Amino acid sequence: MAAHDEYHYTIDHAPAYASLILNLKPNQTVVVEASAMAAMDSCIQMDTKVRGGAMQGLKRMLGGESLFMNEFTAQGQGGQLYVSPGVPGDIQHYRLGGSQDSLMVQSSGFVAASPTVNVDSQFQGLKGFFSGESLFLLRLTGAGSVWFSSYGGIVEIPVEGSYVVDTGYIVAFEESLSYHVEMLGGLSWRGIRTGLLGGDGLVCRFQGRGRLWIQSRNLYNLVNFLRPMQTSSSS
Amino acid sequence: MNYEIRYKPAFAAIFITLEPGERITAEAGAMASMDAGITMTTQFMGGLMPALLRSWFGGESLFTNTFINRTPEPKTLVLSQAMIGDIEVLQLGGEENASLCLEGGAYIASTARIDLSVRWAGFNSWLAGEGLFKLLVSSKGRGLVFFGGYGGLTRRQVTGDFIVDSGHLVAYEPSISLNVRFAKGIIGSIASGEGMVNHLKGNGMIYLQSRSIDSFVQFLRRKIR
Amino acid sequence: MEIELLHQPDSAIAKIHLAPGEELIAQAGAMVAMSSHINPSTSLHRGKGGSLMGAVGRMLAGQSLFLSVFRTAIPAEIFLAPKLMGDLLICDLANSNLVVQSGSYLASASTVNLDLGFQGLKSVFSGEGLFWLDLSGIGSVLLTSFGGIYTIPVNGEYIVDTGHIVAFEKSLSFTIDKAGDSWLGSFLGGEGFVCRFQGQGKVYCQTHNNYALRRQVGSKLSTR
Repeated sequence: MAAHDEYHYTIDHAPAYASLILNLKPNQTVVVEASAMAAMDSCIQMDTKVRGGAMQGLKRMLGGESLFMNEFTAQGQGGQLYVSPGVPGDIQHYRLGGSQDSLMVQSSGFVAASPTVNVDSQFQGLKGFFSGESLFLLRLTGAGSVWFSSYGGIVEIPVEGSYVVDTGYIVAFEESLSYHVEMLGGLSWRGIRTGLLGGDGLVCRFQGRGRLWIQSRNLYNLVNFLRPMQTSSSS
Repeated sequence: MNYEIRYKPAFAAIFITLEPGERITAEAGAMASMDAGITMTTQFMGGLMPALLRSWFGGESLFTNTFINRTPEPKTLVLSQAMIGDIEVLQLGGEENASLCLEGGAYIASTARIDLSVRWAGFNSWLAGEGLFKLLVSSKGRGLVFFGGYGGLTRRQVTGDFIVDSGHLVAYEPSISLNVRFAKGIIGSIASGEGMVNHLKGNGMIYLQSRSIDSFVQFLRRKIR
Repeated sequence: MEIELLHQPDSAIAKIHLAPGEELIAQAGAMVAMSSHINPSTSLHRGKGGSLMGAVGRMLAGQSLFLSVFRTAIPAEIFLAPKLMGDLLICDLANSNLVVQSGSYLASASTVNLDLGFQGLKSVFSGEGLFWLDLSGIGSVLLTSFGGIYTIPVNGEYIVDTGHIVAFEKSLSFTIDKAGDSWLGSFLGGEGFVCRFQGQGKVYCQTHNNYALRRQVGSKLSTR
C-alpha cells in the first residue's frame, strides 16, 4: 500500500486492466474523471462539478472529454473507491510538487487527482498532435497526487538529450522537455501517410532533460482492426 | 484433474491435465488446443429450453462441449474465452459456497458434479444491465466452476451494502440482492457519466470485473467517426 | 543485438539494443520510440513475382508485407510493439524453418530470410486476410500473439484450433479437420476447424483468438 502522505491507494491488475483502489480517509476528497467509478462504499458521496469553471469545461468537451468531473468524499468515516478508466491499460501515479512542476498528459489519460491540482486543456494546433486523436493536451499544475492512464503498458523513459516517439504512443511528459512534431519519411513507404501502408510516420522529437511515459499499444490499431466488422450507417 | 490458470489477468487461460477417464464441460468455442487423444462431444447447455432461455436473455452460448480422456494416459487441454480478461475458479459443494449466480457470458467450464440452471433474475437485474436471467451454478457433491470477466477480477465480501457501477458485477452469491438506482437522479446520472448503479444488499461474496465492456465500446465509438 | 521484453503477457513491448552496423527488420508501423540517431527506411516485400502494382494489390488482399529496416552508426535503442494486445516471444532460428502467421511476425535480425510463398494452410484462412511466412537462416525472430504464447513440443499428434496458431516448425505435417465427432457438432459447438499437427517439432499457440473477438466486439460497435 503506497502512501504519498495524502492518499492510501493500490493499483491492481496492471498493466492491462489497471484499476485504482483508493482508501479515502474520513472527509477526504478526490477528483475523478466522469464515469470512471466502478464501485464504492456507501458512505462515499459523489458531487458533480464543472472543474475550473465553464471555459475549462468547454475546452475539455472540445477535446472529446466530459464536461464534468466527479468529486468523491468519504462522509464521516473512511471508505473504499474503485476507479477504472474506460480504456483498458495501465495507471501511473505522479506527484506534483507545486510552483515549477508541470505535467503534460494526453487528453484521455486523466484518471484522478487531489482537489489541489489544476487541470488545464491546451490546444495543440491543427496539425493533430496525436494524428487523428484529440487535439488537446492536459496541463497539470499545483501540488498533489495525479493518476494518469494509458492503452497498453506504461514504460518510463528518462530523456537526456533527444528522443523520438511515435505520436500515437505518448502518454505523458514533464514540461521540462521541449518537443516538436515532424514527419519521419523513412517510417512509412514512400512517405505516404496512412495507417495501412505501414506506420503514419508522425513522430514527436523530445529534447532536454526530463521524464517521458510511453504506452505499449496504439488505440488506432485496435480501431482499424475492428473496423471491418462495422455494418453501421456511417461511412 | 490438474489445472493452472496462466496469463492473468488480461489473457487468462486454463491449462488442464485430464487423468484417464476424467471429463470437463466447457462453453462452446472455449478450446484453444488439446492432445489428440481427447474426444469432444457437443450438447445443449442443460437441455434445450434452458439453453434457449440462457442464449436469448443471458448472453450465453446455446451449446457446451464435453471433453473426455478415453485413453490410458493423462492428456492436456487448454481452454480460454473469446473476451479478453481474467478467469477465476471456485469450488462448490461442502458447507460454504453451495451455489453462485453468474452474469451472462461469464461461464467458461465446470467439472462433472456441477449443475447449470437458469433462474429469473428480476427486472432490477435487467435494469442494472445484468440480464433478465441469471445462471445459477450449484453442485451435487464437490465440483469446480471456472468463470471469467472483462478485465481483472476482484473478489470482495459484502457485509450489509455496497455500490457497484452497472456492468462491473460478474458473480455473486444468491444471498445478495440487487437494487438498481440512478446514480444521482436522472439529470445527475447523465452529467456524472455514472448512469445506473447497483446497490447490493445482503451478506455474501461477489466478484467484480475491473472494466465494463459498455464503457470501452462507448469510448471506441467516439474514436470511430 | 539484445532484446528485452516488458509488460508480458498482455501489453508486451520489446526494447532492443542495436550495436553499430547491426540491422533490424520489422513490420512497418511497429516502431514506438527510438534513439534519435537511428536511420529508418521502409520498403515493400513482395510475394512471388509480379509488378509493383500487383504487389500493392496483393498487400491490400493481405498478401504482402511492408517492412522497415533500422540501421545505426552508434549504439542505440528502439522500442517495437505489435498492433494488438498480446504477448511477445523471442525465437532463435538455427536449423529448422519456421512457418509464421503473417499477423504474428514482428521483427527479425537481417540474417533471417523471409519468404512469403508458404501455401499450405491458405484455403482455411483466406477469408481473414491471413497468409503464412516461411522463415529460414540464423538469427533472432520476434513473434507476437493475441493472448499469451505457449510452446507445445509435439511428439505424436496435437490439435490446435485454427485461430490459435502463431507459428510452427516446418518439420511437422498437418491436416485441417473437425474438432468433434461430427461436422454439425463442431460448428454448433463453436470449434469449427482445427489443425492436427503430426510428427516431431514445436507449435507456438496463442491463448486467444483475435478474429473471434473482432466478431464479438465489432458487432457491438455497429449497433447504432
